[in-house]
Amino acid sequence: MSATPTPDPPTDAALAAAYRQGHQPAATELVRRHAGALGRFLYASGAAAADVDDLVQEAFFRAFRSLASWRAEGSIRSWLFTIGGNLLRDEFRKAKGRRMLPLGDRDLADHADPQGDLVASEAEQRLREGLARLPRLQREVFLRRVQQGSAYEEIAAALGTTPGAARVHYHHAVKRLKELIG
Amino acid sequence: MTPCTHLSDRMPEVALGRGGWTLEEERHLAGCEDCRAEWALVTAGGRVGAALPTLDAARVAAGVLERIRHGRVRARRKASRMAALTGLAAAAMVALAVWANRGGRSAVPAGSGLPAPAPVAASPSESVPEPAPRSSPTPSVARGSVAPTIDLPMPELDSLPAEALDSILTVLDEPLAQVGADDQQPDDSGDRELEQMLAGMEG
Repeated sequence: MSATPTPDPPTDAALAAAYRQGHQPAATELVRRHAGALGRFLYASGAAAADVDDLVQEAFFRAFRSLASWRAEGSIRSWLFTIGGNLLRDEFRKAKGRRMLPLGDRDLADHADPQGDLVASEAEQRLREGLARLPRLQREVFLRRVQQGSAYEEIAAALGTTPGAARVHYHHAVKRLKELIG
Repeated sequence: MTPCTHLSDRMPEVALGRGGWTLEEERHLAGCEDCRAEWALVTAGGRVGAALPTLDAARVAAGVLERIRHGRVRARRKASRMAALTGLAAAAMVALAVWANRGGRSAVPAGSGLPAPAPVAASPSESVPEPAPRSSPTPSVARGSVAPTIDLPMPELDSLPAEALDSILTVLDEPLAQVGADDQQPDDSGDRELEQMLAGMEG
């Protein structure tokens, strides 16, 4: 008895094309695939936990509104990160210097090992504070590398720089974070 | 490429579970403090935000699609309004062009306080309504309403120099009381002058 082969899930490009033709469930599927990663990226970039939901929605709104301009050679997630990064920069400008909000109790994880989570959360908070003090390019290159595992070529294409420059930004970010946190 | 650079390049991949260390890499990591510090940063960076509540994708998507729908409706309404305004502007331009081609110009400046000029009869048989007396302008004119205008051909004005035309327009723009201030009215005449007038009329 042979198992029925499951069809490959549609690619992001296929979902984007389907949405452009009016297939709204394709949009929902794109949100399901990328909203979590985008939310973590925005949070790590300095967004307050309470704002992440709204920022993710705004980023997807902007993305869907201009989906025709998305070049399918880059990943849609990388494009979403770029939109999210621009959005966050605009928010920071509006807030005039408010770069981070302190984490409240609701931001702490509710797991079985509260002591371990508290320590992890403190480390995470320190890391966020360190990330907030980095120049934008260094922060974005670092986060795209460590959260998505993106190659320097892809990061460079998304941020409008060269792979060599992206590598330099990453190493500068690591060096500064070691100094700030270590 | 130094072992440290090589390890640095591999760190995100290993931290995200897309690969593992080789024995040689593990040995280097164990002995290199710099690489261990970077490895700690990379693993911590990958975990930032992992404790965030899971986003409800269906709700986010529904909100986004609803906003896009609203935006399209608003854009359509805006386009309709713009089309209507453009149409109105075009109609106004056409009306203005027609009016200008007919050589039309208001004989009495609007709001000058003067009563509307009497309509001119096209033929002697047509009845012409009585003009309003000068001393008592019609209430509508007094309120500043626009008087009905009519084209009056006045060829005698064509030969006047510009200064003369300007002075006529200035007089037209002045309030009535001022215009007639220097004129001698019958009420102001002396008794003797009135008697002379009556005698003249009686012959």
